[in-house]
Amino acid sequence: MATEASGAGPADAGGQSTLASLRRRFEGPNTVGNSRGFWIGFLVAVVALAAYPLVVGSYQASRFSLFLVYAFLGLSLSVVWGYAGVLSFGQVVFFGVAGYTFGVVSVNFATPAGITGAFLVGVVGGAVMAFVLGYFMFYGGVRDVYVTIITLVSTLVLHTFMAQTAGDEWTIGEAALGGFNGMPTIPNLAFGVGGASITFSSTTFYYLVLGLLVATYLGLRALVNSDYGRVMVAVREDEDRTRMFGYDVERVKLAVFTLGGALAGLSGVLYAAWGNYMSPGVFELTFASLPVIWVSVGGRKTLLGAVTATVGIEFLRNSLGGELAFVIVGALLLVFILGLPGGIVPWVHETYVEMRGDGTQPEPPEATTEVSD
Amino acid sequence: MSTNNSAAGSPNVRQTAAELATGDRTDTLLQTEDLRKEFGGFTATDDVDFSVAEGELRCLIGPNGAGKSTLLNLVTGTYDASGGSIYYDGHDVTDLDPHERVRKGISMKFQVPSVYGDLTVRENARLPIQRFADGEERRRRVDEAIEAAGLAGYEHVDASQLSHGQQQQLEIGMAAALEPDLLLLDEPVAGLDVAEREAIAERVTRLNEERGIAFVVIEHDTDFVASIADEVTVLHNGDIFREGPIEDIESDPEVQRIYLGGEQ
Amino acid sequence: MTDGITSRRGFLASSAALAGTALAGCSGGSASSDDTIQLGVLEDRSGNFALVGDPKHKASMLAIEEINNDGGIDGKQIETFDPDPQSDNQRYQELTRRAINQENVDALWAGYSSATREAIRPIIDREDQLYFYTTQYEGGVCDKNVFAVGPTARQQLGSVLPYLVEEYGPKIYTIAADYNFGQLSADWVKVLADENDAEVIGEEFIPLSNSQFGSTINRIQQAEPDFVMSMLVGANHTSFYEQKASAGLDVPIGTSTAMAQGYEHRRLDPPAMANIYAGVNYMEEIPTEHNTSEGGFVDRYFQKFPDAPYLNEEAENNYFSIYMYKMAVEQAGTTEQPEVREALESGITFGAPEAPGEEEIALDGATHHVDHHMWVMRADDQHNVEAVDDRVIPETFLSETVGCDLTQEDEETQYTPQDFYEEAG
Repeated sequence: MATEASGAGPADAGGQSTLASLRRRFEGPNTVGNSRGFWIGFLVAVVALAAYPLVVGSYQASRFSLFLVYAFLGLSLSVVWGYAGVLSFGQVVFFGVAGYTFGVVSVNFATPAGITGAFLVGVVGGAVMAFVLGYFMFYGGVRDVYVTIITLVSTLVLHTFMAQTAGDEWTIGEAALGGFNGMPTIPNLAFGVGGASITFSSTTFYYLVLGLLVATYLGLRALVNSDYGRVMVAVREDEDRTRMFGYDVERVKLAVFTLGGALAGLSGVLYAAWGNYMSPGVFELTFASLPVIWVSVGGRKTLLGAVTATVGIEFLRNSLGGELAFVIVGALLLVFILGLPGGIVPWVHETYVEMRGDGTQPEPPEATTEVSD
Repeated sequence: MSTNNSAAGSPNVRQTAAELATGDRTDTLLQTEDLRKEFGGFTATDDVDFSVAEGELRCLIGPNGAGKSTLLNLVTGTYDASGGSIYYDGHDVTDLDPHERVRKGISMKFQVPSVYGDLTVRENARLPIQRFADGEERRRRVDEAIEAAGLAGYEHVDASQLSHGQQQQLEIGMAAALEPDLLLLDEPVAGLDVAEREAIAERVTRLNEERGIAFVVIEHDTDFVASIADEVTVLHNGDIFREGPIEDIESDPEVQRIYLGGEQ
Repeated sequence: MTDGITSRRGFLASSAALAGTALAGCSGGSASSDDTIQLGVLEDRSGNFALVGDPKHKASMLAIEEINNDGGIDGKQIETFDPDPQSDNQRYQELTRRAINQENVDALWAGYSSATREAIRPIIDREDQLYFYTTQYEGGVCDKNVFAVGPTARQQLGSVLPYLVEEYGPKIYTIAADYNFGQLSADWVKVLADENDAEVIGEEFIPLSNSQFGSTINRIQQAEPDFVMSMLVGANHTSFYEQKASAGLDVPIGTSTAMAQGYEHRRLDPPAMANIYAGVNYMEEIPTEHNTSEGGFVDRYFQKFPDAPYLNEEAENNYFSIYMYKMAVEQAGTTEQPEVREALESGITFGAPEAPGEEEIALDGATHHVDHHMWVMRADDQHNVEAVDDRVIPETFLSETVGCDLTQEDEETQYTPQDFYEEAG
């Protein structure tokens, strides 16, 4: 991956504005877009997204907010796979577990305070589940393809399990898990206590999700461009080598996997609150493979790729509808894996950079074996 | 039959070798006791007692399949021992994970050059250093590491674009940047031309003299071995066959025989 | 690093957002004006449930066309919002929201499976939308906004099980699809067995994905029941009937799910469905004047849809419930949903195709369910279907056992037999 020296080079003294040094936290070789032009475009996009509900109305905004909710799921796989090299088919496990947890807690405590608590418990639930699964996998010495298989199997196991929770014995307090029929009557998301609380629905929900997404995106950008982010990438590239530099690779993978679980869990909680409904369908193989498709098409090694591909593909899938849509998305995956395995966004970025003719790769001096003193 | 036209023939080297020859060892840095490794039914390392002193420059030679890389991997912890113990700087490190051993002072360059191909030279060099240095000091160390590897001017080149020799230099630099006490090199000059080999030999010797880093180097090239080694260990069938200064080893007919395929 | 240019990507991102905005903005939502009535009909015409969902859609369109030709409801013509939800629950949720928020439907018919109903019920309840659920289902929904006009498991099984006990004997073997509907139906079999001095000697739950019934057939043969109760569901389970015929298993089978919905007796070769007794409120072969006489329901349906393969159970439920809605609106004098709901609760009756002669079926106001005229329909070796028994079976679970009365108290609950019957536990 070609890199550009970031606009504010390390040798800059404090003469540059704090804006530039702030920017530097979010820029680096691990993310796409390290120029002022990018940030301007980013701002324009955010403003456009913020204006969207005002233009199309609350129904369309509500529909679109689902795609934004999915973006967290895409980001979770990008972090885990694109940045730490762990191909997980199980992000939907944390998504679903968090959604169901939110459902169970919020149905039992349907006050704003209770729902706020349910939100936190749900996200933490996703993270904890990832931690447990990750612990046994990584510290148990499970590597590479077997991680993928185990995460895939856990998806299938959860689907089978949740689908048979139909009877009364599968009720937690007031909340019936509902088996195949799913768990309805999950309340809308609310934050706060009693009178000092906001409930989110339709347009307000859209803005909440948009705000969370922008914040999460920036936060992840800062993370992957930090020292820790470099270690993540090193783990992805060559675990043994990284280990021999004194890094506890298992701990890194577990931490990143847990973070991925939290992100997927956040997605799941928002999803449950969006549809007021959870069903075992979220553990189906078709849904479990969607995050892989999103980040493969968008570019798993970039956060921007994950977000834009998720929103774009889901928008497409939703507009086309039905089986045809899934066939097209599947074909999309094939095309990209064969033709552009790195994904769209990195390719666009490289093409753009080339066209600008900046000559990012400096000409290497003539090869010499002299070792300077 | 001495082929000892040492390129790095500084008085220091000879003196250390002389010290060893008289049995005047400095403190033992690495010590294995009855170290054993079995892969299924095959014994790769056969109850080996192997020791390296502080600041020593040891070469590890032997026919293919003798268990040289296995021994290094046991020392780093990449392989779990099937039996026996490993002591480093007085501590029993047998049960420690590789990264813990690295933090104690062991460092390694792999047999196959494994720089991070997609990262630039600078990013490669930064990775080991960022763990213990920040800000100005980090920049300085990274600059030094790049220069010492002869890669000044290649800072922003992807490591995969480097020549084989440059990658070896980069890797040695990265391994050395950890400031280890013991540096293990697995075939550092494989595939390099004569000039590149000399450059590496010079670098290893300098690191050994100036920073007191102990080395265990696996190599097949006898010229190279002769030019750097204080002492040589010959492995055969998973066990130590001979140990001693390079001149003795070279003139030992038994050693010749195992190289030519004769069974012990 | 040149700074003056807005990055191309940023531009692309913004224009994509704007383009999406423009596309999405073309929603063209219509509201029911003073001159028309807007009805939402969301039935699957593609996907998993296309086979059973398509007749529902067709019959709805037939009813609406007939009403419109007859002057509409209170003089107002009916307009429909009827996109295809494609057997996708998420799509159902979306379309339900759209139907309520953008299309402002006066009443909504939606969904085949119980899962669909449960997926949209929160939206229905939040918006207080008048909603008709027309598929046969496990029963127990006591919800002020929902009119579940399909027969319940208790009604269906309650028609065929006592008949088979009398005809063949008291030993019953149950096979059911392993999910909510199948499990709850199996519970009802136990309750009904207890009420009819019969006994369930074996019970098996088959995963929906399973299509191999060899071991099940063996176990049935070994258990030697007097008859089998089958609540198998879905395409995979259809192969049970073929496999049992090949194995020579000829024990009589009572069912609430086979034949009436997916017309297996037309699709499979005889004698796969021989000696199968379906307990249903409607099948195309029901021998009533409303249904099979000249110009009756069947004739009118196939005149409008000459290529339709079959007129199934749920289609009739859609059909008569639309007429009941018409009656309620005309009684209330308005389309305002609370008033229409009250009218529906006041005791509407209608001469539906399932009712013989001059009889009319009644919508029970307290429970929002229908006291159906139930039929036991038997298929012979040649897959000819004839009625062997029929009577009105009122809804009793909610009205008598649970005590659900939506005229007195608003509720939004689904009850299960396990809470009320020991035998079901």
